[in-house]
Order: sequence, then structure tokens, then C-alpha cells
Amino acid sequence: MGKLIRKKIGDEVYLNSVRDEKFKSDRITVNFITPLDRKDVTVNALVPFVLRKGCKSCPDFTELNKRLAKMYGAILDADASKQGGSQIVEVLLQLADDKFAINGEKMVEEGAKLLADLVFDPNLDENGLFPEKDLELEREYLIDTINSDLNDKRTYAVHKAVEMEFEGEPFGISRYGYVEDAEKITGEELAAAWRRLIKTARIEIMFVGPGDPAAIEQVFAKRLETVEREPIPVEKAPLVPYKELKSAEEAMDIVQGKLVMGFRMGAPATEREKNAARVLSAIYGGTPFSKLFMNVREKMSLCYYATSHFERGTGVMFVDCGIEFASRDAAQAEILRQLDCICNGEITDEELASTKLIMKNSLGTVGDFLSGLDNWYMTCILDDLILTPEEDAAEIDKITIEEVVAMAKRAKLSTVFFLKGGEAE
Amino acid sequence: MSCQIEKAESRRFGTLYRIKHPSGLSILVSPMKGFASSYALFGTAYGSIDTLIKTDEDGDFIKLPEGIAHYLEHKLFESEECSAFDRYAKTGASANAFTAFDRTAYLFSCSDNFSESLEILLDFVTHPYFTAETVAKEQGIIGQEIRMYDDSADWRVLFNLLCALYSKNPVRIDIAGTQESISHITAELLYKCYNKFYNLHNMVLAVAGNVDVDEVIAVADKILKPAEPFFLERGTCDEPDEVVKHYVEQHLPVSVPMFNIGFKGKAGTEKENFVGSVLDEIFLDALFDDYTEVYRRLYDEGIINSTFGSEVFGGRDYISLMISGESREPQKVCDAVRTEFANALENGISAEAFECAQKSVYGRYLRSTERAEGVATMLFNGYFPGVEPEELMDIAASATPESVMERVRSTYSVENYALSVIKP
Repeated sequence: MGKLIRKKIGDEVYLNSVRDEKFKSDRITVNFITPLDRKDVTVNALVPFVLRKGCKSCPDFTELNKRLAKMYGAILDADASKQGGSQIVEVLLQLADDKFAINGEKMVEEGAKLLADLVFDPNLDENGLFPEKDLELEREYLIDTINSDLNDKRTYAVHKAVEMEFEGEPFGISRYGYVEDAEKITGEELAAAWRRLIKTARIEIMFVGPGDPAAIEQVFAKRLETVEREPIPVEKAPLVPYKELKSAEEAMDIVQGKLVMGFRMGAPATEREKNAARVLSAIYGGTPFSKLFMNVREKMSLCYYATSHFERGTGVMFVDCGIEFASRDAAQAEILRQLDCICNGEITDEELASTKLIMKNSLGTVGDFLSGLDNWYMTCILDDLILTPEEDAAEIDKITIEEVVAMAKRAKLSTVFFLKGGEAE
Repeated sequence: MSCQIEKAESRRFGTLYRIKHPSGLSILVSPMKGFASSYALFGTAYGSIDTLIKTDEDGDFIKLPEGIAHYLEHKLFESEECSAFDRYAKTGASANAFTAFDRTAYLFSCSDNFSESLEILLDFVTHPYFTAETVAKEQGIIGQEIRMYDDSADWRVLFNLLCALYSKNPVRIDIAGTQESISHITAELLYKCYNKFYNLHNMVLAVAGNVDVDEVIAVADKILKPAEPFFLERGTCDEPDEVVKHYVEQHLPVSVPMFNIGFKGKAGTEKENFVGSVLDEIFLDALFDDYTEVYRRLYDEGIINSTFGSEVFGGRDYISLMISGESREPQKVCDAVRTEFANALENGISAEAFECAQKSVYGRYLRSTERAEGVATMLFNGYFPGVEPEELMDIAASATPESVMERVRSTYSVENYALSVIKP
């Protein structure tokens, strides 16, 4: 597998490529990175939705989709996401490589040009605004997307817990923003948001596949010559060690309760500490032989899933499970008791070895997926630490039981959210 | 007796070894150059629709409790000494399993210790251990799984549709059963089902990625015992052609109503359904994908959004076309979909729509072949119907507007439909 090659191609614009012959498709993503900000998050989230609709060179949505279909079903996606304290606006194109082109078409170069058009040369009218129709439709769709959290109860409960946990911090800002803000977005604000991203966001272009990144570099470098840049550096938001314990419940017409608990890990600062927290989280509730799986599920039969997950970007570990409403107290008590067990050093060498083994094994599969490599390196770049999955596995291997126990002792329960059945109040 | 091995090479799909193992098991191996990880699927042609069992050749069929195939899948992980997960813990593989309508599969993915993990997989699936205690323990766990799905709008919109389309075919039954039905499951019944359906002649092992065919055969030689001769008489259900009803709705807390429109097809043999589904996929894409006129019209009217999509829902003895998504006006979407359908049945599909659809569908299959999981899944899914990935891609590549329409006209009609809605 090729290594990541990172090249500066503009003012705070980088092309990151991993060339790998084993794949049949190429994947190019253009990512705009900007600080998560309550003021802009919603209008920024709307930008990718309208960029997806067309560009000056292909203004009609149907024609654009036809073009993609004829490229053997090329995938064009545009979305907004967040990591730590950053908002990421992403436009992605994945298409069959040149070696599968029937008539020798330069698919990758064409694809790169289309992507550059969509991002840098959208379908703006003579007033520099996006089509009114697109603004209306995509604004509605953004609102529906924000509200769609409700559909998956597990996601909904986790989202509520995250909001509670990070109230007042940038990490608590919603990925797609807020309905009340979305409703008011005007054409001028949307166009201004796009301009602001082009001008000031850090731009990371990621390329993964068998194709030659030189073609992509040429297309984007050329396009950037016409773009005025005044990038604003993206700083990492500080991690808060602990604030207070918050607890809440919500009633909904459902049959299974969702319990979510958040633990502050004392703001782990070094990579070593973060890795200890990752291993802790895996031992606690990240594998089918973890404390939570073996006890809350297998021994007590209280749930079908009980998992834990440590977020590097925020320094918080979340536990979530789906249970009978009546089992809430028993489940919560057991979840806390298992953490206590870890604090008391109740981890065998075997548990540690098995947990590391499954983590390393999982890291070993990342390089076999285009999306795996894309997401992996984007996460690294945003974390300011670029490692191959294998190098990361070697770091995980260094973690000792003592470090895991020490990290467990730093865990402080800070959020408890329970979604229960019944009439909404 | 030794293995019979055939090797096939294709530019599209890659290398494929077809092995007839002396134990009776068919093994399909696709080594993928340059890949670090491997993916293995070991499964049986037994799923939630197999609700009838005949243990005595001269006897009658016995009706099984709903959800038993899924229950069995959970319990197979346990043995007298430990669980399969405890064993996988020593190799680091990520393991899982799933029960589908007409098949059940046990799988793992790993980037190291492949042989050891494959040994575990073959061993635990071929060594059942069920007791009253272990069965009782699972009631709570599966009970919670059922509850989780009861709250899932995606799941409910589909199952309500299946109940509206099918009156007798057990595909309408929830795969996990209900909390009531699973309370009737006993260790004895699990053994009956296991012994009947988990015969190696009724199973397949599909492996892809960073694998060596000799290694796979060596593990099979080590673990597998020769299977009993296999004879299976499956229960039939006498499903009428017509749907049960045209509309069903359920209220659940969702933000935007969800819909699923189904067109019930005349099912053929398992192979006919599988082969036909490729042409059906092209048809659905040509009518409803995001480059079509009807998509654009409904999208611009704000009636659908980018969750709108379609799929072929097919299996051993059932096949339907499904179009689903979110909409505040599901009935309008249904009317538009049916109008488009009727128009296509009457006038066919345009050459441009066909070109877009054919290339999209073909591209999807091609993309599957660049992931070990995709390759193993294509091998597994095609085995029981008797269709290999290369043949599947051939069908897509050689389809014509005429062959697609001939297939659709002989299988579906505009009248045989149902609309399922979940609304807040």
C-alpha cells in the first residue's frame, strides 16, 4: 500500500494522496475545514447541499446525474460533518479508474475537473446567488436532516447526551446546525458562506486509488490560481477536564429505553494518554468480550447492545445501551460497577492482549477500503498527527494495564441521559 | 477421497477457486492481490422463512416457533466450555453473524491469524450445544433485540409492507420473531432444526481477500467431518399472486413520514429470481434513479428528497420491487410511481435511461469486487441460486431494453402493489 504523500498546492491548501494499485476506483474528496461556530454552522452545512445540485459547466441537476450514471455510476456526495472543534464541509467523487474505461477516456482527470467545477465554480446567477429553487429545496432538506435524528432512537439519545455534555463548548454544536437558523437563511447569506469557505477555510483534498495524483494536482492547482485566499487557521478547541454531573430524561412513544452515559477523562493531553483511553474504552465496552458485553448483556441479559466509545477529539467516553425501562437502575449500576472493577485493577493479561489484538487486527483492515483510507487520513490530518494504521497499531501495543487503570481512575461521570417510554411531556 | 478443485480467472472478477470438499461442503475462494485483510462467510440455506420442518420422511410437517432460525444463530456461538467470541479473542478477528429470510451466515474479517480464525469458524458452526439453561438466558437478550427493531421505523415500514404484500409466505414474519413466539423455543427444537438444515451439503464457505487456497483446504480437512447424505423437503406456502391490501400505516415517532411501495412479482425458481433481479435492478434505476424525469419532478415539488431509492427484494420463493424514502405526501409519490410504472409497461424505457441504468448497475457490481467483503458476499449470495459473480456481471453487461421489459412485463403489474407508511 502506498504511503500518504502530502503536498501544499496553495495557501493552506493541501493535496493528500495514497496511490494504491489494488483498487478499481478512485476517490477524491475536497474538504473545507473551519472552526465549529454557533453563528455559521447551519449556513455552512447548507453549502454542500447546494453545491451538489450543479455547477456553471453543468447547471442542470438531472444532466449532472445522467453524466455520473454514464461514468459507470460514479458517486457524488456532499455533506457536512464535525470532528472535535472543527466543522468539515466535504464534496466527494468516487469513480471507476481509467484502466476500466472502454474507449480510453481519462475518467480521473474528467472527474477532477467536474469536482473542481462543483466546488469552485457553482451555478451562481448574475447576482452571485445560488438558484432560488435550490435554496428553498435544500434548506427544507437541511431542516429535515437536522430533525431526522429522531428516526433512529439510539442516535437520538446519543445526540441529546452529547448536547448536554458539551453545553457551552464548541463540541456541543450540532453537526448540521439548528432548525431556527436554517429557516431564516437567505440567498445572500448562503452565497456569502460559500465565498467565506473558499477564501478562509483550510482546504484538504484527499485522493485514494490506483490513478495518478499528478492529474488531480494539475487540475486543482490551476483552479486555485483564480481563487483569492486569506485562510484563517483552525485551532484545536481546548479540552475541559470536568464541569458537573448532569442528568436528564425524555419520554417518547417507544418500547425500548436508551441509556447514554458520558465520562470526562480528565482532558487527556498526550497521544499516549489518548491511546490509553482508547484501550480502556475497548476493554470496557468495545468488543464482544468486553466488560459491558460479558456482564450487562451476557450475564444479566439486560440488553442486546452495551458499548463504549472514546472520542479523541473531545476527551470524553460515552457508553450507551438499549434496555427495558424497568432495567434502567440495574443497568446503570452495573455499568458503573464494571468501571469500578477496572479501577480496582481487575483486568487480566489475557483481556489486555485480546483487546489489543482485535484493535490491531481492525487497524490492519483500514487500508483495504477507499473510504477507510480517506477517513483515516482525514482524521489524522485534523488531529495534526499523521500515522499509518500500522504505526497506530504499534502505539496501541505499548499500552500497559497500569496505564489503563490510571486512565479509568480519571473517568468522572458527567452526563446521564435516558430516553424512556410514555407520553411526551 | 480428495478435493475437486476448479480454477477460473476473469478480468472483471479476478481469480476464483471452486472446491468440492470430501466432507460435502462447497468452498469458494477468491484470493485478492494486494489486500491485507480477509473475509469469510460460512452459511446455510436456512432462514426465517423456513417455518416448517419434517424430521420424519413419512410424517407431516411441524410448524416451528417464529424466530427460531435467528435464535439458533445466537445460540450456536455458545459451547459447553466457552463462547466462540472467547476463542476469536485469541486471534483478533472481528466476528459476527446474521439471519436473513432464506439464509443464515457466520462471518469474520481479519488482517492476521486467518487460519486460526477459520478453524474457529468451521468448528463452532459444526458443533452445536443447546441446553435449557443456555436457551433461557437468551430470551432477555433477543427480547431486547426485538424491542430495538420494534422502535425502528425503517424496519417497520418494510415489515408492514411485507404483510400487505404476502398473505401466506413466511417472509412476512419478523426474522427475530416476537417475545411471545420465542418463549416456545426449546433446546430440543433447536437441535431438530440444526440437524435438518445445517448439513454441509446445504451450506457453503466463501472466502476472499488475503487468502491462500491451500490454507483454506487444510483447515477444512482438519475440522470438517463427512456430512450425512442430505435430503430436504421444504414446506410450501401456496401464496396467491394478489396482494393482501393496498395500504397500511403505522404511527411511530419520526420527523418526516416514511414510505415503502412494493410491487409483488410472480416468483420463479430461486435461480430465476436471482437472475431476474439483475434486470429488475436496471428497470428500477431507469425509472426512478436521480437522473430520471419523475425523480426531478417530485424532487422539485418538494415531495421527495435524496432518501428516495429503490431495490429488488428477492429470495428463494419471493420477489418484489420496492421504492422507498421520506415524504410528507406518500400517496402522491405512490401515484406518480405507479403512473411511471404503467407507462413503462406500455411503452418501454428510453435508450438513454437504459444506458444510464445499465452502467450504474454494472458499476455497482464492479465496486463490490474491490472489497473482500463485497467479493465474499457476492459468492455467498449467488451460491444457493447457482449464479457466480462473473455470470451476474455478464447478465448486467449483456442486458438490452427489450430483455429488461420482457422480464418485467412477465413478472409484475401495476395493480399488484401496496403502500406502507410510517407517520408521526
